[in-house]
Order: sequence, then structure tokens, then C-alpha cells
Amino acid sequence: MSRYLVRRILLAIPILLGVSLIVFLMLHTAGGDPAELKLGLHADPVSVARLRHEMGLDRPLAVQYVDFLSHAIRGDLGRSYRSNAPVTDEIAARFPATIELAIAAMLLAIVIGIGFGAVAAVRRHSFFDYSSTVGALLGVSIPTFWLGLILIIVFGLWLRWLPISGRVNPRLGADPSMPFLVVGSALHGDWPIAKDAALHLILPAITLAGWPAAIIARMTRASLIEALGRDYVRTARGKGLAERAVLVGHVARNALIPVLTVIGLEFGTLLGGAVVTETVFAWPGIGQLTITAINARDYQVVQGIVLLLATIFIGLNLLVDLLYAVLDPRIRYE
Amino acid sequence: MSDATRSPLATAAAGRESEHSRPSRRVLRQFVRNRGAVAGIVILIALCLVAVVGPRLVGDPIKQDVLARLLPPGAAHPFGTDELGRDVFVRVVNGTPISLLSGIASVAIGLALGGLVGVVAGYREGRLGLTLMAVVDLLLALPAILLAITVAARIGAGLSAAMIAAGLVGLPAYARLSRASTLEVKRREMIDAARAMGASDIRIMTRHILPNILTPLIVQSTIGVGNAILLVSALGFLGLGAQPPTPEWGRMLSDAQRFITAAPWIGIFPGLAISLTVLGFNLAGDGLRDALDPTLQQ
Repeated sequence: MSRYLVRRILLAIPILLGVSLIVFLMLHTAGGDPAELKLGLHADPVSVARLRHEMGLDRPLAVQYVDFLSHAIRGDLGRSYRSNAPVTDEIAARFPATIELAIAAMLLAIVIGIGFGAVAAVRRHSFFDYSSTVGALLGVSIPTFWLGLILIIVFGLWLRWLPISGRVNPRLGADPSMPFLVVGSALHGDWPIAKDAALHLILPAITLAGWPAAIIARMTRASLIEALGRDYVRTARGKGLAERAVLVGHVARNALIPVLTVIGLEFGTLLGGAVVTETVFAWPGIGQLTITAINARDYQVVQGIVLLLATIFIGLNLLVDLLYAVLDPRIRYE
Repeated sequence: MSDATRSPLATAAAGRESEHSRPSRRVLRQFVRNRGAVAGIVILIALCLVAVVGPRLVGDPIKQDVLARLLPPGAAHPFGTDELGRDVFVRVVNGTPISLLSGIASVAIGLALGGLVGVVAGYREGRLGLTLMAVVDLLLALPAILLAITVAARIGAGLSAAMIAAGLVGLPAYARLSRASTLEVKRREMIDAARAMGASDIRIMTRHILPNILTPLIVQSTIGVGNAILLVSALGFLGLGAQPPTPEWGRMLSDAQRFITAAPWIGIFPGLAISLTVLGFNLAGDGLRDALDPTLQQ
């Protein structure tokens, strides 16, 4: 097991290096000179050249990349072209909001996906199965941003049940440095803020959960149906086990391994999808920061965010692989 | 035919090698019996008709009528009008060919590059193959939307940037599929026969391997068009895809956001159009896969 673990972790390093190189090259060869952008259109060429030199942009790309990499390893992602603040600070200020949204959405997707998928598999060809299959199909066909707009129209504008933008009502005076508003405020006993933040979270979380819930439901259903047809299930039933014991003890354990994989992979996708959802709900996370940074050609920030998310994505893949090896011993010996 | 139950590839190949008509008729029968698949094809045919004749029938998507701004749906404007007094129905109809073509173009890019890489990597298994696949796998290390955003940032916002971005996002799937299929086809006797007759590597790859790996690629491409349309419209929504006044559905939704309180219909119809189109491709793709792959029938 430990050899497998070491090999998988070592394999992630070249992938991370390759991704960082691709992202670096793409963003550093993109149009628009950052020095020129900083000084404005009418800056004289001498000042632009001086600033380029100060920013290290006149060095060969290879040197710039190695420099960037050696700093990135130490947790320094450079400074924003726009605000001159360290990129890590800009990201750190926004990332907790994204994580809070992503975790809420993922929990929702897991509950809905596994719940619907499991009932659909056990009651195959029933009306419930049919509706949940259609629901899953709609889940992967409806664009996230449109689902968000529809929820805003129905629950925010027509019914007026839920807030439609931001994280919390600014008039409540929530502490802006608190990373996780719902849980944090609740722990501090600040119930009005916790409740308001939770209400703000509902619509964006449903929006972001739509796609992964559909994928998880499909996978749960398919995987359970396959497991239900296995010989050991017939054996378990044959020896007189109660149906509940068969489902929980024999079917679920085996069927949930692929579901777990999908959950891990979808969590990475979900962090990416947050960019779109955050735009719809004016959610102050890194998705919004990404769009602001791209429009301002602040590629240092874009690069930092993309690399952070790629690292998380690769880390999640690794975690899923390792969990897989724990749950299914056959994999370790391949 | 003993291996015919193993994969869509083997089935299709077996069909081509033995009797030509019967398996294809079986596939067609399977497809037609699948109600979802038929619904998908009906949706797609209808959308193609709208895309071809619609724009000529309904007229100019950027014609403004300042006296008719933000009108709700009614007899004169079935989907209402937007903030510039443009007819939303006319714009949605004119957006149909844009979305269909952008989805198909994205898949064409991903399929051509991914297919090329996959076939070569499968045919030359050694160092070349491994290197090619390692590069392809790097594209998988980023969430789709972020890869697309980075590509769009590199090329500069626009519809073509969005199409290239969506194409690159799909590329790894086609590369992996082509490689796996090539590995399987390569072991067949007909390849040895072709080589014995003096066929060059390129001839073997294009004339003998490619035709035999098309089936799984077609299934993947059909579903791929739907996903590409979603991604292109998401980039349009984020302001990185099609630019105004192009009546691209994602872009229309992004413009509609500001008027969501006063005129929700501007946002409802373009999104409905995207959902219907993607649903059509997903239904047709799922149906094709079930019809072509007998192992999935239960």
C-alpha cells in the first residue's frame, strides 16, 4: 500500500509542473503588455521600458517561468498588476466564500444524487425511476447560469422568499474577515447573521448542485443495478438475509465505490463551475475575482487562481485514487 | 462473432466485415424503439430547420425599435422585446445557427486533433505514444470551465475563441477513445495483411484503422456537441465568448441579467433554447450509444 501511495503522489508532480507551464505560457504570451496597461495608453516608451524591467518582464520567458515556479513553491504567486497586492492575499480574501458555496452545493448534490439514484435502482422501471432519469437528463442539459436566473425569478422576484445576491445583508454588520459565514456566525452565537447567510446560500447552492446531482444520481443508479445482479447478492438473499441487510451490507458497499470516484471528480468540476454561479448571484468568491481579473488583463491573479484550482483538482483525483485503493484491495496489486 | 458482445467497436466492425445490411438495420430498429432517442432526433431536426430557414423568415436580429423597449410577450412580439427594443423571438431564432454551428465546430476541432493524437498514440505504443498521451492528460488536470477561460483569455474574447476553447476541453476524451480503439483494431489480422501487402503506416492508419474506430467516436461526438454548446454559451455569459450585438444565446442571457426584475422574459427564452438544444443532443447521443452497444441493453 505504501509503495502504491508513494508512486501515485510522485506521479502528480510532473502533471502539476506541466499544467503550470501550460498556464504560464498561455497567459504570458497573451496580448496586452502589463506595463503598458499599468501606465496607460499615453505613457512614454522610456517609462514603459523601465517598468517592464522592474517587473522582470524583459527577461526570457524560461527565466521568468523558473522564477515564478521557485516563488510559487514557497507560496508566493506574485503581485496583482491591478491592485499591486500579493496574489495570495487577493485569493485568500475570496476563497473561503467559494469553498463555503462549493461544500454546501456538494452536500446537496450528494444527498439528492445518491437518494434519487438509489431509490430509482431499487424500484427499477417505476414512475419514480422514470422521473428521476428525466430529472438527471435535464440536470446535464440545462445551463447552470440559466438555472440560476430561473431560481432568481421564481424564488427571489415572484415569491420573494429568498435573497438573490451577495453573501449576507450588509446592514447586519457581519465581520468581513470571517471565512465561513454560516458556520462561523453560528459558532459565535450570532444567529441573525448565520440565518441570513444561510438564506443567501440556498439559491446559489441549488444552482451549483444541479449538474453534479444529476451525474451522481446516474452513477448511483447504474452502479447499484449492476451490483444487484451479482452472484453474491443472490447468495446473500438465498441464505435468507433480510432485504435491508442485503442492500446495506452487500450491495451498497460495493456499488458506492464508483459513486465515490464521481463525487471526488465532480467536486473539482464544481469548484470550476462556481465561476459561473458566482457571476449570476454576485457571490464574492474567486469566480468573480477571476472574471474581474481577466477583464482587467490582470494575468498574475488569473494564473494564481487557475493554478490553485488545478492543484486542488489534482489533489482530489489523487485522494479518490487512494480511497479507491483502500476500498478495493485488488487495485493496489496492479 | 464471439467478440461482438464486447464493445460497440467490435460489433460495428463485425457488421462491416460480414453481412452489411442486417446489423445496421438492427441498430436502426434499436434506435427507433428508444422513445428518448426519437424525441432527441425530432428536436434536432426541428432545430436544424429553424437554423436554416428561420433567420430568413423572421428578419434582422439587431433591428431596434426604441418605442417598444422591454415589452412583455404578446401578439406582436411572441417572446417580448429587450432593452433596446429588439424582438427576443427574432434574436433567439437567429441564435440557433450560431449555437448549432459553434457546438459542431468545437467538436470538429476536438475530434480532429484528439483523433489524430489518439490514433498515432495507439499505433505507435512506445515513447511517442506515451508522450502524446501525457500531454493530452495535462488538459484533464484543469476543470473544463477554467481551461476554457484560460484559452479564451489567451486568444481574446470572441465566438471563435470560445469554440477553440470548447474544442480543447473535449480533446482528451476523443484522444483516449481513439487510442483505446486503435489498440484493439491494430491486433486484427487485416492489419497484418495490409502490412504484408506493403501498405505504409499512414495508409494503414487512415484506410484501415480509422474506418473501424468511427463508431464510438460518433457516439462521443453527439454527446460532445451538447456539452460544447453549454460551454460556448457559458463563455458567452461570462463575456468571454460572442460579443454584442451577436444574438448568441449565452451572451443574451448575460445582457438579460441587468433587466431581470423589469423583464424576466429576456432571460427565459434564450436559456430555454440552449436547454432544448443540449437535451436534443444528449437524448440522441444516449440513444445512439444504446443502439450501437449491445452490452448496455438490459
